[in-house]
Amino acid sequence: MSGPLPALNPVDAETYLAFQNLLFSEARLLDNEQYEDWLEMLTDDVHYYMPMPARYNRDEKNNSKHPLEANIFNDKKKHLQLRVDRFLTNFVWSENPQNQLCHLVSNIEVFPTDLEGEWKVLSMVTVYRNRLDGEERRMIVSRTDTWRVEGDKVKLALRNMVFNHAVVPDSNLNVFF
Amino acid sequence: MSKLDINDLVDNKTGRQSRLIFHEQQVYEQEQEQIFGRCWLFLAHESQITKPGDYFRTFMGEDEVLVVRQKDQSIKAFLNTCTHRGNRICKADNGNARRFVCNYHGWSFGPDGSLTGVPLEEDAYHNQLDKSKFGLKQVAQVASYKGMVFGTFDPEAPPLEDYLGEMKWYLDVWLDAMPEGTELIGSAQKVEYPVNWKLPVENVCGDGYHLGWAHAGVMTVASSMNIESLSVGNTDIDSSTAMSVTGMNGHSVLSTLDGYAGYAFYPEPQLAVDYLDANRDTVSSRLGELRGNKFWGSQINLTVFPNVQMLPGLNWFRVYHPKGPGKMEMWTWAMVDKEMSDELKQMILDNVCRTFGAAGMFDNDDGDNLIACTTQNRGWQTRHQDIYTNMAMGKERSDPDMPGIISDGLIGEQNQRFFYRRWQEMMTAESWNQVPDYNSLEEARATEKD
Repeated sequence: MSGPLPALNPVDAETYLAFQNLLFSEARLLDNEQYEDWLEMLTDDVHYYMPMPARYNRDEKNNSKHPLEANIFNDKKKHLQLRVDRFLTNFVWSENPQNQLCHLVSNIEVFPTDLEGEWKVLSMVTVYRNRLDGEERRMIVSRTDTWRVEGDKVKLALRNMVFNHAVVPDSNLNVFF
Repeated sequence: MSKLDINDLVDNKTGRQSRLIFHEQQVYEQEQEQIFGRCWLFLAHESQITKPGDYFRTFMGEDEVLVVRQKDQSIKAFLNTCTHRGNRICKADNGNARRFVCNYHGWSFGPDGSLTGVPLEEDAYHNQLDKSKFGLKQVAQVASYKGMVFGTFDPEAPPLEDYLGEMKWYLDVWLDAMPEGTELIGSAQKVEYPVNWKLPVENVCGDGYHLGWAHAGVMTVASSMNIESLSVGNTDIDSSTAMSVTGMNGHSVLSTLDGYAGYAFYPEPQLAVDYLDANRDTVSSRLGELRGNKFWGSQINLTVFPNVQMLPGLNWFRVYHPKGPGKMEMWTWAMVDKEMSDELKQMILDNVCRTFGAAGMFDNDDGDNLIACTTQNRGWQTRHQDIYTNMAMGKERSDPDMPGIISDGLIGEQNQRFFYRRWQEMMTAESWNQVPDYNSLEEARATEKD
């Protein structure tokens, strides 16, 4: 190869691989519906946010009609706990039988922040669901995370998501992204 | 296939529907012509298009329309299609435009729908094009009721206020409770379902029966108030605490009567409860004690035939756009009183999204049930079966203090029967003169078909 290699900065390979592993293990917990274990990966003040996409002309992209915008998720930990508690009642009939669920995580980039023990982590997740006699759904979400040291672990403090579908293509979003 | 006789497909006296009405393409086409082509349909809330040139892109049945605020503050609506070769002229959800320019050949139209610009008009058309004949196709009638803008393709349709009829008395519990009225917040939550459009209308217009069972999971974890009529599991009910109301030309209401239950599924409802307590006297003075004390703040499902539903308290507003017999798009907004604080509006918006948005814990219970109610009819044997809304027949009554036909309790199927009755009346009437007008039990009986 001629010319210089791209630098591994902004973080070293060890840090990068550690975050890649973290995102992969998070995806595994979600695929396995280990939701209480997943909640343990979140800081107590986590903000889990996914606005509802809208299509404006380019010259009016920021022309929101109202300071309050609709969201798909705008949850603190207690709200995520409520969603998990709902699953755990076993009364959520659409999740029985269990649906096939795969979180495919890619496009990972890790950046240090100005704060010690805090990182910005970008990634994309493709959520593949197979349910109702072979009906398949694929949803793609871009994620901008903040991960932070809390206690002896690195935990998710902010997940800012872009849902890349103008119309939601499934009859429920009984999933986390 | 021969033309289906709509008279055979629904029988109001037994609460029977043929499952063909959820499946057959020719029934669907007839709905587009007879129902979506003639009824008043929701277009937009006035708060969404406040300035001249503000537009909102939506659907009337399968017809895509642009709703545009005019220079004189009136509102017009047009088919979103170029009069030259038929291309869509606007792709954005909403915005502000001085003109709409077609992407295909560059024809441009003013906010009033007139054709204002044709490229090469002189050199290629040799000035032979009469531009006055190629304006956008206008929706025949557009009118507002207390902030809600409706349109109808039918120039012969009765005025909007007559169409809404006695339902206005109930709609005002939300639209006219507070002096400044209501507004919709943010962009629509749009979800596509493989569901016939009538099934979610039926579900929300009168089906309190499914509440305790289909939503048992979320109701177990999300209830913050102990409300008699909202019990989990369909195990016990107290019919005196709620009622269904219909007649009213097919519009309907389902309501608790406690003045608070609309906020029963907010994890921390105190801010809303404070708002109700602080303003109840104002509302009672505007709407009277009955509506102010018993309805305002209650869990209320309001349905305007054919496809608009709003739930004050849970504070969502919804319209269903049909996309074929087996598909529809559901658009949901949060709707609030303008007087509410930003903090309360934010709380309501978040709760709407958490309960009835795309990832809403209630909505996510309904989807699969309604999908199966639609897709099972692909089976030839299955679709030739009948299904019924025959619960508590003959229990309807009148009330001197309230319009409409009333059945006590949240659990019943009276409203669904009248929804399908109105559906059948619209589907069989050749003109508005043949569409019966009824409000009370006596009028409904007198106009019922044999």
